[in-house]
Amino acid sequence: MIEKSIIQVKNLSKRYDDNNQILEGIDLDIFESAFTVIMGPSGAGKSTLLQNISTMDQPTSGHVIFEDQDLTKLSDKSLSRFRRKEIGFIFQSFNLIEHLSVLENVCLPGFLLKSKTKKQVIQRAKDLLTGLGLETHANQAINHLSGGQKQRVAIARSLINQPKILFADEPTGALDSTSGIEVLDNLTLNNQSGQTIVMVTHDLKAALRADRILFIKDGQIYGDRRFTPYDASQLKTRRAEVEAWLLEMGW
Amino acid sequence: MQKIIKSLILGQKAFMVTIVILTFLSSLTMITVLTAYQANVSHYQTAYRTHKLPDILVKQDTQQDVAADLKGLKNVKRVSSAPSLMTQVEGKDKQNITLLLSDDTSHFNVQAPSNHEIVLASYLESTGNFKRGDAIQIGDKNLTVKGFYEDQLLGSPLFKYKQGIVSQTTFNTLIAQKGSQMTQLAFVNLVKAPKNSEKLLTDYHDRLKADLIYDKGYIQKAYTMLPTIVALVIILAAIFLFGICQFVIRFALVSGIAKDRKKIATFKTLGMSGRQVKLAYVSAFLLSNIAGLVVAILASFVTSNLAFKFFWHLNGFTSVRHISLNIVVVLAITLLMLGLSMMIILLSLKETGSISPASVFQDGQSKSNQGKFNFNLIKNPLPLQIGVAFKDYIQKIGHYMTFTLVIGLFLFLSLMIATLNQGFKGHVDSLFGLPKVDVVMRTPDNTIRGEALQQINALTPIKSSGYIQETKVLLKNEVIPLHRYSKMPSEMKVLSGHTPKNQHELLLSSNLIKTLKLKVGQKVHVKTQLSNNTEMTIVGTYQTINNLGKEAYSLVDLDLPMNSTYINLKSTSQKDKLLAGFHRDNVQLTDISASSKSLITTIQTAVKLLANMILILTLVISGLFVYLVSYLTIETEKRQLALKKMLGFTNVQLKIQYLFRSGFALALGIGLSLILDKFIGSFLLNGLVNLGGLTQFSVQLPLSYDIVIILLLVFESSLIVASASRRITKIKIGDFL
Repeated sequence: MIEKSIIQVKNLSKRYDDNNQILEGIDLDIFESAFTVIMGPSGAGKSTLLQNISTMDQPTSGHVIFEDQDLTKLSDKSLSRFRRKEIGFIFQSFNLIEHLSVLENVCLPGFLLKSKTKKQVIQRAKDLLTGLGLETHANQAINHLSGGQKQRVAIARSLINQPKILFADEPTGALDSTSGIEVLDNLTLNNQSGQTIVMVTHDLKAALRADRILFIKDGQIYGDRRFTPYDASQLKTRRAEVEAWLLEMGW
Repeated sequence: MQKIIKSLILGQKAFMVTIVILTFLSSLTMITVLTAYQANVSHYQTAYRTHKLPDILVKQDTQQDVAADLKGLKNVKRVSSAPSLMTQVEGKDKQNITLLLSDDTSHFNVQAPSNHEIVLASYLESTGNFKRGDAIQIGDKNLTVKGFYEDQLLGSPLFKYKQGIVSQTTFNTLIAQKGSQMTQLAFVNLVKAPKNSEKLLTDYHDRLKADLIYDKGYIQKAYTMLPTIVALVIILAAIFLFGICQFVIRFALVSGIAKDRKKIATFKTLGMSGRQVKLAYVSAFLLSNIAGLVVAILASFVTSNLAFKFFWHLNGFTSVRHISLNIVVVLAITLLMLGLSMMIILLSLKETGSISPASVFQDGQSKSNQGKFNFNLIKNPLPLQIGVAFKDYIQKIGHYMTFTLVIGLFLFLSLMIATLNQGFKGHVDSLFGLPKVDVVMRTPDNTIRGEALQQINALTPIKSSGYIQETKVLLKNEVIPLHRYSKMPSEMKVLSGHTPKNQHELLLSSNLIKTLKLKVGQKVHVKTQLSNNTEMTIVGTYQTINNLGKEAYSLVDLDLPMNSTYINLKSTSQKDKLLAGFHRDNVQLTDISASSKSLITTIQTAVKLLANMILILTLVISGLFVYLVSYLTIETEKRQLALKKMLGFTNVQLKIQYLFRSGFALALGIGLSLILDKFIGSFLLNGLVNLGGLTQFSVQLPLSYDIVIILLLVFESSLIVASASRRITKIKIGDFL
């Protein structure tokens, strides 16, 4: 199968004000419909890389190309449009708007994009919540949900505008084991239906879902390994394979 | 603990500075005004005691000594009398001034001058009427102004007549001069002063001819009237400032605690008890209060003297006196300020008790919920930006309510002050119970009346005129001024019934009918100077132009010469031109408000100055507060703003939402202030001027003024909010998510 690049990262560097170099000269392609996982030791620059690719942060130098557009050169208005239309984002701490209900949280990016009528957005949000097992919680306040439920609301919100890429930063980091698996299952299911996913994680269980793992060390890509698409029935073999590679990387 | 307090103070520098400034301003104004006001009152009381002044000063136009008649009355304890002269002299701009001349120095605080010299009350110099060395002509005699005396009671412009003191020899030569009228002054001390001045000396057989030109109750009220009004206005503003200060404290604490949840949880994790955390906050905020208070007390040593000097000038005195700080006032203000602040701080700190390390560190997010009032983003038809802004506003309604209340109260204060200013600008005559008649013309007979009116009309067009007869009658044992006009002046408004059609009908002012507990249609017995018992029917009530308003109108035959004509000009501003340009033998034009003119000008200037100062202060402080609220709202919402940016909101959209939120709060504040203004504004203003000794305040601020003040506040707030919202652009998503 020919891999089609959806995002190209060229010579990307990130340095903070105190001269602390986090990323240095990263070159990378993110492929369409792939489930890419970024791993590495703490402080290696995983989340920074994700934020810079996803326009949550601006690189110090280098380029991020999406559909022939250099995202590092976009105006505030164009960047906002890119965020609402092309990407979805899931965080470790959910980052839901707490004074909005579950349904409102999911609908908000849809209302903002204006590509569908209000009614269509609400219907899609309800469908997504039903798909994630949250249909009965639609009108509840966020504070009344468990961590796993909150993360599933975040997934629904990230998918409302059918983004081309879904970014996830440690999505299972704040969840118990069962909830974590539920969230990973949802992500895998979406990927299997063609959704491009880029995920940062420390969690081996999460990494097993990937068909590509990037290993970051000292601000550079230290390893880049492809795997066959996730198959739950082959979990043991895959676990051994991934673990062996990660150990080789110094994990 | 010290380090924690220091970190709390430095962590909320902007708020702490604001609290210091507001505490300073509110306590300084309160201490200053109350100290100066108290000094003004005590100076009156001291002066009254020192000069051994009477309860009543009676003026009666007669050559006979009236002391013997007065001595026999039931309630009279002591009477002393002195002859005096009423005379007309020419003052500044050739205006006629009525002087009350006396050679009596035992009751006036003055040394008798040499022959052919005169000493005048000091305010006649400060108002520019006379200066030292001026020549005053009385008949064919010339007197030189030797100097001016300052008497805190009988030399005050509040006293009914302008006074001059001459030597006994000069006085005797003036008695025979043309234009001088002999009159008797009787200084009366009572056994017990009645509460109602209309009841004074009602058993005196010549009471209807006696003019009570001074009574202790009235003059004390008059003496403290202006300082009272000014003091009340300033205190009202100070109370607002103090209230705002409490809002700021509460706002700073609530926002600070929301921001410092992690810090508080950390303190608790490190072993600090809830009480110690509270103590740290109480200490930090009370320190700011105390700092403002201490500076205010120090500054009030100077400002109290300045304020007293200002009050002193309002009463027409120029001599500088020094007053010391009133310890009782300082202590009371200190206790009030610190006590209330402490209460607000403790109430605001209740929230800290519920902060536990576990709840804070669990997911790192601040506690938030959908609030008591929910607004559904899904179902509402509003455009998204307004909908989101309104949802955010509802969610933070408590936070924005402070903003709303501050704006509402400040606007209310501004509207009240502007109304007060307007009232003193255009209606000061009625406030002081002065008839709204431009000039009064006196002619020896009716024959030249018509010709004189034509001459006046050619000089300055006349709006209305008619003759007046004035007398006093006794009604239900009270002395009432009775007027007979050739026709009712248009400024008079009949409130019920009709105007009298014959000599047996009586129209009473609304104030009088209420005081005497009478009814329209009722028959009453009236004692006039011609008849001891005339039965009359009350046929209606009227609103007097004179708001003191205890007067009556009738067609009763007064057997008095109809030699007084009231004249209202088409343009009141032409009055001075008329007075300077009109000359005709045997015809005298008098500006009846001239004696109060300088007083009115002083009041208008003082109120205008105050109003402008308070309006500017209001705008500055409300602006400061709006900035603080705006700044802090963005500070506490950085994470949420970053989240919205992540979802695809542009900076412009976020700023618009933010402006809308402030707009909702502002609109509510404006609504609140307009409601307050409509329902309690006039009540409060009336209470204020009543406390100051005035009678009625029925002035409405023109709509254009309301609009200008509101627009000014909206413009200022929008500018400040827009300026504060620029911080939104600087928020980076990566720093918060």
